[in-house]
Amino acid sequence: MALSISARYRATGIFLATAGFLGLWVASWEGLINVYRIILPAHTLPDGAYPYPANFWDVNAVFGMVSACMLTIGATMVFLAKEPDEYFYKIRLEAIQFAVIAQFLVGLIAFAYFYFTPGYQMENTFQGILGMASGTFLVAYALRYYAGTYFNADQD
Amino acid sequence: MTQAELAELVDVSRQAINAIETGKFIPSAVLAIKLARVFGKPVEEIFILSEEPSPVGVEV
Repeated sequence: MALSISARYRATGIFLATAGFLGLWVASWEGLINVYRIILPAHTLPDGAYPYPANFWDVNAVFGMVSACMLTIGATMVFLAKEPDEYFYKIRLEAIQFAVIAQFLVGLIAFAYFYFTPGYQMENTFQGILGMASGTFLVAYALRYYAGTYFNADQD
Repeated sequence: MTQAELAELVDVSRQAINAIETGKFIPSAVLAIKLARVFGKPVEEIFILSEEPSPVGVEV
C-alpha cells in the first residue's frame, strides 16, 4: 500500500467530499441567489423579486468548479487513506465492488427510462444521469462500508 | 478474554476479531500466527481447514 496516505486524512476527506457534493448541488440549482438575498437584502424589489446580480453567473461557475475540486480531492483522500487493519481493506474492496455495480445499474436504468420514454428529448439528460450514478456510487460505498465495519460487527 | 482485549494484543480492530470468529473473514498468515501465539497453541489448532461452507473454521 505504498500509495496510502495517513489515516488522519480520512476525516478531512469525508468533510471535503461532503462539502463539495453539497456545493455542487447548490451551484447546479443556482442556490447562490439565496445567499445574495441574505447578504444583500437591499437589492430586493418592492414585489419581493430578487434580480440576478450582474456577476452572478461568474460567481456561480467558480463556486461550482471549486466544489467539484473539493469533491474530487476529498474522495481521493478517502480512498487513499490507510485502513486500521487487513479486515478493513477487505471491507473497502467489497464496498467498492458493491458501489460500482450499483452505479452501473442506476445509470443504465436511468438511461433506459429516459431513452424509451416516448417523446422525451435526451439533450442535457446525460449530465444528470452521470451525476445520479456518481451520487449512487458515493452513497452505496458509504452504506456498504459502514454496514460491514459497524452495523454488522456485534460486540461480544 | 473479550474481542477488544484480543484485538489489542494482536494489534487489529475489534471488528476484525469479530469477523474472524464468525467466519466472515479469513486472516492473513501473519495475523493467524499472532493469534496462535496469544493462545500459546499451534496455528492449526486454532484455524481448522473444513470443506463447507467456509474453507477455514476457527476455534477461539
